[in-house]
Order: sequence, then C-alpha cells, then structure tokens
Amino acid sequence: MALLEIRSLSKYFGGLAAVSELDMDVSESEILGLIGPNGAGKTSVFNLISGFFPVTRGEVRFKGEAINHLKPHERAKRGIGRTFQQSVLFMGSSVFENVFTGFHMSYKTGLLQQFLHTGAARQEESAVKLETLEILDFMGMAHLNEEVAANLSHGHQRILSICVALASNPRLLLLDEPVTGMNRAETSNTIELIRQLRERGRTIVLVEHDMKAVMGLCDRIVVLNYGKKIAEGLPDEIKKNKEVIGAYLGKEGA
Amino acid sequence: MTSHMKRLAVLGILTLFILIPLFVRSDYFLHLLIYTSMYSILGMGFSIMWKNRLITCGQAGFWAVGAYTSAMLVTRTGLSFWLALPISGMASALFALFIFSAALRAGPLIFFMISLVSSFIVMEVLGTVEFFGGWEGLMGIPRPSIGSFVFLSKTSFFYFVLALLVLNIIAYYALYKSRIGRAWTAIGSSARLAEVQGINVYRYRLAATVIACFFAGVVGAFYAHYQTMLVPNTFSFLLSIYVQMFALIGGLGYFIAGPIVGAGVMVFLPELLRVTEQFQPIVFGILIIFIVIFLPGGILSITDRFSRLIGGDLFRRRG
Repeated sequence: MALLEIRSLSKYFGGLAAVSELDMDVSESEILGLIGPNGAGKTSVFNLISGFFPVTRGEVRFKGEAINHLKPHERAKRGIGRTFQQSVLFMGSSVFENVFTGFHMSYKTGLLQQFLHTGAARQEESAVKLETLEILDFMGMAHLNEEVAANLSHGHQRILSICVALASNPRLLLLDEPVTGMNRAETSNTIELIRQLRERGRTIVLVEHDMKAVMGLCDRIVVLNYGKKIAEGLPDEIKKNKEVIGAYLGKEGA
Repeated sequence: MTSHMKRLAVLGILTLFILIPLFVRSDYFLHLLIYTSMYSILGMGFSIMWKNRLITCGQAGFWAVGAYTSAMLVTRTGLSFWLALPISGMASALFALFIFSAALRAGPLIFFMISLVSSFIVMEVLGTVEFFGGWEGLMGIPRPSIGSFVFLSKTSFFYFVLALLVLNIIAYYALYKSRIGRAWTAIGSSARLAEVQGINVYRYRLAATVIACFFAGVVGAFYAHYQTMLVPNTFSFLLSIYVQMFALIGGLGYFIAGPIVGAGVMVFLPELLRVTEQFQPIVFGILIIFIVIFLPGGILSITDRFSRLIGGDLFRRRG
C-alpha cells in the first residue's frame, strides 16, 4: 500500500478545473517530483493534500485512511507537513523561535501543566529546545539562530521553512518550490539536504521549476498540464516524453 | 537586561504601587488609578485577541455582562459577592463562547463585526428590558465585605483592583510564556503556517476570546460594586473603542505592559490637561493620530528604541 493514494481527484473553481481526475500514488521513502507549466495545478494538488481546499470530487488517502474531510491541522497530526511557495514563516520571530513554535504537536504534557509551568512541562520544553537546535544544526542554520526571519536572505528563508515543517515530524513532506530563486551553490546544498531527509525515512513530494534539480533529485516524476496528469515515470523517461516536451514548449496537441 | 533584573524591576514597580496610598492622600487620584487598573484589564483582553490577529470591538459589552450578573445576583438573590465575582467572569465567558463559537468559524472580519454588534445588543437589552433596571439603571448595589470589614475607602478598593490586576498579569504572563502563547503568536504571525504545524487555529482563537471575556466579566463585577450603581450607557460602543486605544497607545506589540501604559495615559491625560468630558474624544482623537504617525509601535516603543541604544532589551518587543 502506498503512503499517499490519490484517486480521481478533481478540484473546480467555478467552471475551471484546477485539477481533474488525478490518480497518483506516493510510496514510502520516495522523492516524487510534481512538475508542469505555470498554472498546471501543482500547488492546487498540494492544497488538496494538505487540506486547504475542499475536494470537489475524488479521494485522498493517507496511510490507508480517507482524509478528505480533515482540516489542515488534523492532517498535520497524521503526519503531513508542507512548505509554501512564497516563504511563509513567522516573520517577526527569530529563526530559533520559528522552529521551536513548529513543535506544537510534540508535547505530551497537558495545557494546564503548561500554564502552571510544572517541572514536567519545563523539562519537556527544554527537550524540545534541544530538538530545535538539532534540526537547525542538521539543516545548517544553527549560526542564524538569533536572526529574525524577516531579515534572512531568500535562500535561508526557504531552508528555514523546511526546518519549520520538519518540526512537525512529518511522514510525508510536501515542498513547494524548495530551490526556486536560489543560486547554484544554495540549490545543490538544498538538494543534498532533501536527499538526507529521505535517508532519514521521510517521504517527499516536491513541486519545482528548476528541471536540473528535479531530474537529479527525484526517483519518479508526475507531469501535470491543465490539471491533468499527462505523464508519469522515471526522470529519464520524462525527459524524452513527447507530450511533456510539447506541454513545456506550448505545442498544441503534441 | 537579564530575566532576573526584569523580575526585580517588576517587583519594584509593584512595591511602588502598593505604597502609593501611603503617600497620596487624594481620593480622586486613587479613583483614577482604580479606573486605570480596570481599563488595563480590559485592554489586556483586547491584546490577547490581537495576538491572534482578532480585532474586538465589543469588550464593553462583556464588561457589562459581568457587572450586571454580579449586581443582579447580589441584589436579587443575596448571593455573596465573593461567589458572584467568579460567576460573573464565567457568565461573560459563556456569553462569549455562545456568540463567537459561530462567528469565529467565519473568520476574523465576521468576528470583528459580531463583536461590534454584540456590544450594541447588550446595551440595548440592558436598557430596554425592565428586568435589568432599564435605562435608569440599577441602584444600591452593596459594597463587598469580608467579615465585618466593608470595602468603603478608595484605598481598600485600590488594593482590591490591584490584586485583580496582578492576578491578571500573572495569568497572561504564564499563558504567553507557554506553548499556548507560542501557538497564539504563531496564529497572529501566519494562521496558514500555524495550521500546517498542527495548531487548531479556530480553537486557540476561541480560547483567547473566552479568556479575555472572562477577565472582562470579573472586572465588570468589581466595577458594579465599586460604583454601587450601573447605567447601561456606561457600556457604550465608545468604551469598546477606548479599550482598543489603550492597547494601541501603549503599543500593540506589548501585550501586557502596553494596555497598562495606554490606560494610564488615557485616564490621566484629560486630568492633566483639565479638559471636560465632552472634549475628551477630541483629545484622544488627536493623541491617536500623533501616536500612529510618530510612534506607530506605541508609547512603549520608546523604551525599545532607548534600550537598543544602550544595548539591552528592557521591554523587548515580542510577536
């Protein structure tokens, strides 16, 4: 059984089909690339998986459970994490606080204990602080701990958004354009980090326009155009697929 | 500035406040301080909602619910004030839960509008329904007492409200320092990202609202027995606007100290300038324009600028 199963998923905005009749599986610990020309519906698929849009038709199943009716925070609890296309961060907070806040779900002590700051609650909090540092260290952001998120460079903001997503300890991580706008060194560094995340057992789906990055990183690729899946396969197969090339070059009916 | 020094500073300020009645013999001055304290509590209620990026325009209504609950319970059923006080808070909290559990689902804008409407409704109901005393209000609300000691003097009421204020500050401080407060900050910063991190945005916002209205209800009960009479017009829409201004003038980023400073300024400034009540809105209007233009971070942002100069973080701005 695949970790994530998408069955004839459709999303209409008025009469416009953002996603139509999409079938897609994501297996445990794979890196799946979701590509397509602008407006192909890639981000819509992310929003449907993470619960930001209600589904028009079809089904999303995660770990075998139908999650159509679940709210974003409930899906997060089940292990779906994501980043956003624009760097959505807690902009006024420091790098450390961004990730620290991201650990919201991991607490075992109750809210009352938290309110009263009991010994157990404080102990737990310092444990979470250590985990926060671990993530920042792993992602190479530890030196920026104190920096306010809004003041970071674009590349660092993108990395930080992955750090925040990691704080929720997701089984499935949806990355929306993780390397877009990064320079070459930052890109290759980020690709390496994403690979290591997979080594550590996370399943990753990413939307990305940087074809070199996608081809080098992904195990499998799904291509969307006008909300429909037009191809699926290994990077080498996708590269040679006529329909894909046609979609990108804008050739009608290719 | 270390947290240890900060604690000392807070204790110092508190001691100063406790000592005030020893040096100040003016009942009127104490009366103004009592109002400042009540308004601070209302303002902090606005702040906790603002932390979640909710704007309320109805705190006067919840203040009224608390005030009338306690007044009616004590005068009509003879219940002890000390029981009526927490019950008033709960009544106000329940009322908030009832109104906002639906409104919050529709988002912050609807929340704002419902809060506005709710305070109008509360005032109209209190005024028109004879049971609540009508527009002439309720009279003869007894003063609180412990055994044979009756709260009569301004000094005794000052200590009473100071205790409420301190409790309020401690509660908010404990909340803000915990995971709950971090979740609120997260929601205020980006509700979308908060949700992805597993925060139930709706429920946390509702909790913040209910907590704020609980305290508004408690301080309402205090108000009823301090004034010994209630008139519906006290709890007008204008007061809800003032509550917003307490927070705004003190500094929206200072969730505890901001409303206290703002309330202090708005209570004492008209006295210092010796303006009569009918001109007060003009003074406040000018003040708010100046604050927004020259000190958009509020009065407390001066301390921030100053402490940045000396390299400390006296009242560091958060969230």
